This record gives sequence, structure tokens and C-alpha cells, in this order.
Amino acid sequence: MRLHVQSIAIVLTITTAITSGRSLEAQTERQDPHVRNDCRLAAQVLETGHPAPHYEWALEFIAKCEETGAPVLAALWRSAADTEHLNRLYVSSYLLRDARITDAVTKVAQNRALPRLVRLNAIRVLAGHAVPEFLVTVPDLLRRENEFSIIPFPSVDPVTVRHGERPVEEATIRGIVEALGHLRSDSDADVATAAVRTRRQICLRLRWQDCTQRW
Amino acid sequence: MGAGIGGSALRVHLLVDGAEWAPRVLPDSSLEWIVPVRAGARIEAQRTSLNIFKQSCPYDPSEPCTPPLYAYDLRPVGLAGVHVEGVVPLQVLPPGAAAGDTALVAPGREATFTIQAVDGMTAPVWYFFAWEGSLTRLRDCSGQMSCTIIPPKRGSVIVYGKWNGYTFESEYLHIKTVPAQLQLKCNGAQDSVRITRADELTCNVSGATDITGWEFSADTYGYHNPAAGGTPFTGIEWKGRVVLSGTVTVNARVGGAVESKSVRVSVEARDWGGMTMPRSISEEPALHLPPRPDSLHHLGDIHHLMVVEFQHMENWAAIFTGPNANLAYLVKPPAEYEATVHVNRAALSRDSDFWNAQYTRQRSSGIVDCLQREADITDFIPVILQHEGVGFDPKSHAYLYVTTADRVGNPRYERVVGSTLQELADQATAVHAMAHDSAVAASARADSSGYAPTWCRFHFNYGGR
Repeated sequence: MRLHVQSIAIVLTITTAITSGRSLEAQTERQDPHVRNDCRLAAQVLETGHPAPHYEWALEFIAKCEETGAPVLAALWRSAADTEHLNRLYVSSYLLRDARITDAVTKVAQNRALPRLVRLNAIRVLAGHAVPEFLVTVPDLLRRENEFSIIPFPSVDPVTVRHGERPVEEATIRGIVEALGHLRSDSDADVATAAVRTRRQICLRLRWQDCTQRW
Repeated sequence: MGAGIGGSALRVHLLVDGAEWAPRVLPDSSLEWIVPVRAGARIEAQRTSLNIFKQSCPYDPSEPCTPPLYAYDLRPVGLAGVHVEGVVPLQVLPPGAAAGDTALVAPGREATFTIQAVDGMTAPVWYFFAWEGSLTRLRDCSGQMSCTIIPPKRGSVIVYGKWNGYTFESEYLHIKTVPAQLQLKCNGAQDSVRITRADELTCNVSGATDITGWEFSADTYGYHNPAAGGTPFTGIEWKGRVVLSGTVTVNARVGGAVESKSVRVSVEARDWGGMTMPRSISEEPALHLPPRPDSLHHLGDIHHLMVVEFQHMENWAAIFTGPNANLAYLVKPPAEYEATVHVNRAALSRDSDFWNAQYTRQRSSGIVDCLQREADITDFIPVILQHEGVGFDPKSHAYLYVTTADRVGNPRYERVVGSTLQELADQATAVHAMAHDSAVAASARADSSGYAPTWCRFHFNYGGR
């Protein structure tokens, strides 16, 4: 099967609109049949694992699929493991800002049976879904901040996230903050640290005064 | 008469020529030698004819003076200097019992002086010594612990007391009449003064007989010195660095009445306009950029990070004395910039999918295409690095971010004042957020016309797997 990704030449001089919080809507699954076809293929590859050589491509491409991408990525998180695909799963989940993915990674972050790195990557996704400029690394999550320092999450420029069919709205972000709050007493110290720090950074960035404490 | 005068105990031990004093006939008057007196020892000299008293200070009260104690034999045999360590046996205190050897009194007004003396000091006799030379015994005050008089314009109050049979003379308390009008000056100004933040302010009062307390009330921040329940400063000069605008007030007794004077203090900002935050901008592997970028934005990005550390002592200072005591402030902008730049080197390499997605030769469309050649693809890597901020190019994301954060943040950091490190951090957090917001918006300009460094058009069509 021949896949086709529409060629888009975006010259920097005309891309000024792509700034914080705005998505790159040039190629959409909804509007472009070629993208739609590729999305279906990517979904199939990710669901079945075949053909294996296309798995990495599919995991990257699925982030462009605002209709079919979210359920697929959510399902991948439900069976996520500490594999070589974990970072790419994080990146695609970060890039596709859909509440279905948010819900799935929230459960992953809360699941104490999962490996630490999987849970930390889930928290990375939550950070980015709450604040799209938070394209963070695991060390960013674990960087120590105390009451006498201000060490925010880095802000990526440009922000290139794409919004899914179920956008991440304020209620969803409130849910992220609440879920992260529950993790502050997690038995895994790194997960607890990352959750507390992420929660505070989200609240500071969104100017939510009721949840900026450091605990 | 004869009542003991309260105070700290004085026991002295006289040494003559390094040996303990023993009752003996003092030497010939032509011989004079120093007789050290050690506080805490017991007097063993029982010679009834020996008087001990303090020598007076010079009449000019502006000269500092540590009056020596002299032993004197009545017969007379001459003076023998005695050095007193630690304890003043007899002292006259000015009105208000303030320390010092000068009493400020209003002309024509009553002033009350009191005595401080060692245990066992009795029978005080009061004198007023006029600078013109006359010595007047203040008979109404004889034997009294305090003495209220209307002092003449210039002179000194002296008291004699007896201790263990020896006569002691107090230090001279100089009288200085001052205008009855209270005056307050801060850095030489009477009504208002302008001062750069963190510079020193010196406030002096004149015309007061008794300062009951200084106050500073800030225009903002709810700061007041002294704090509720605190003890006000009562010295004649109040000075220290100031960081908040407000009002300095002195409350003082002028004659019998309490008066107040205030000076308005306007603190002006330090010039932090030319200061820029320390920065580090480094490249890190681009693990998040796709192997097949679908826009220029996937060829590189920058992660801005602006941190503030208050544990670094060089960022802030505290004030311990004066009108703004117990406040802390920033001595320089506290932010530091740590950016990481990412370049999609995998895509921008020879024979990558991205390489192969470019045309091999120019079309006749009038559009200048980027071609499958190093000049357009691999040579774009340093261009991206520069565009993001490596080298701090004036059109780069990093430059626009940092300069904007400095412009927005520095004047606001300059104003940060708190009574705890936590308060400094909390205020700086708000400034940080504001500076970051503006800086992010400015950084985005790097992708706009006139900034972005492109010379050809890239293509992002990969033609399937």
C-alpha cells in the first residue's frame, strides 16, 4: 500500500501564526483523503504490530491523525511498557492533544504496578496536555526546586501540537491537576516528586492560585 | 542625707608602683605617680586623709573625654592619677536618663537630673558649674537622688558623693540649650528627600530634650518600623539603607511637651536597564523531532528556561539597622537563562527521507526550491542553530526572549522587597511569570518576516513508506 503524505511547504516567513497554544492544522485527517488513508494504515500497524518495519513510522504519523489517533494512542498507553518506543509514544501523545489520551495517561501515571519510566512519561504527557509549551524531559520533571528558587519547566518554541476530536479543556486540566495531587504520596519517590512539580508548574503557568503550593 | 545611692558595687584595690597599697605616708608632693585601680578588688587603703575623685572633662562638650580618677591627699602631697576600669562610681544622668555626657535642655525650661552610683555612695551634693567660672551649690538638691532646676544657658552639673569615707566627684554633665523647636533632617532635607533604593539615609533630630521614638511607615507593603509591640529606636541619629518609600517620623519631648516631625522619603529605582541575565545556550539531541518533518518547525526548536535562585547570597541583601531594618531586597536581577536548542540532524543529513523529499533541480515555477544538496540541507544546520540562539544573534529566539525578559523583568525585580527570603521568592515568582509571558511572545517574532533565515523552499512530501 502506498501511503501519501501531502506535501506542505511552510516557509518560515509565513508561519508566524504558529505560536503557543496553536496547532499546526496544515494537514488534517478530516480534510485530506491522503492523510486519512495514512492514518488508517498507521492505526492498523499500531493495533496489530504489523508490518513491524512500519511501526516506528506509524507511531510518529499517528500524531497527525486528529480523528483516529487518540483511541489508538490511548490503547497503546494501556499496554505501555518500558521499551525503545516509549519516547516516541510520549512525543506523539504530546503532539496530539486529545482528552481521550489524557484520560489514558492519567490512569498510567496512577498505576503503581507499572514501571517508573512509563509512569514518568505519562506525567510528561499530562504536563504537555495541560500546557502545550511544556515539552519536557524526565530530568525536567525531577529537577529540584525549593522555596527559594524558581525553576519552571522549559517552554518550547515553537509549539506544534495538534488538537484532537476531544479537546483538552479546562475541566480536563483540572482533572490532571487533581490526579497529580493524589500522586504526591506515591510510594515511588520519583513519581511523587514529578507529580508535585508538574502540578505546581501547571498551576503557576495557568495562574491558578489555588494549587501552586510546593508540597 | 547619708542614704546609700543605688548602683553597681564598686570595690577597688589600689596599687602603687605595682604593689598593693598599704597605709603609709604619701610621698613628697614633688613626687607624683599613677595609682591603678582595679574594679572588683577590695579597698585596703584605710588612710582617712586620702580622697578619691574623678577629674572633670574639658568644658567643651564636643570633645570626647574619658575622665581619670585621682587620689588626693588632704595634706596635700600632690595628685596621683588613677585609672578606673569597668565601673563609673558616680554619674549624673540627663533628663530622660539617656546615656551620654551632654544634656539637651530647652532654654528657660525645668530639667530633672538623676544620679547613678555604686552601692554605698552617700550624701550627694549637687553643683552647677557655669562656663563663665562660677560654681553654685544646688542646696535644694542636697542628699537627693534627683535634682530639678532651670539650668542657666551654659555649664555643667556635678555631684559629689561619699563612699567608704572617700569623696567621689561625678563626671561633668554638660548642659546644652537647644531651640525649643523640634527639627528633623534626613540626608540634610527637612520636608522630603529623594534617594536611590538601597542607598543610606541618615536622619538627625535637633531641638529635642528627650527622643521618645523614631518611626518609619512605608507607602506600600504594610511595613512599619517598629513593628507592632516593638521598641522604637531612641537615639539622636537614625540611619540605614532604605528600600521602601514612606515617612520617617521622630517623636520627642521638647521641654515638657511631646512633638513630632516627619520627613517624606521617596525611593527611586536603581538603573537596571542595562543589565542582562547570565545565559547558557547549548544544543542537545533532538529526541522529540520527527525523522520526517512536516514543517520547518520540525527542523529545530528551542526550549527556554529562566531560573531564579535565592539561595545565592549575591542576589540579595538584608538591612539590619535604621528605618528599613529587617527588610531584604535584591542587589541584582536574579534570573538566569538556560536554553537548550534542538536541531533535527537526522532529517538534515545526506540521503535521509527529508533529503530525498527535496527536488533534484529547480523547477520553472518561479519558486526557489531547496534541492538535494548539502548547500541547502546539511548547511542549514548552522543556520538553524543561529536562528534558535546559539551565538545569541539579535534575530534569534534566544536573543528576543532574553532581551524582552530583561526589559520586562528587571524594573520589577528591582522593586522586590520582603522581610523574609520567602517573600522575596514569592514576589519574584510573579515577576518571573510576567517576564516569561512577554519573552515567549517576543521569541515567536524570530519566525516572522525579516527574521527567519531561509533562502529556498523545503518540501515535506515523503511519497509513502
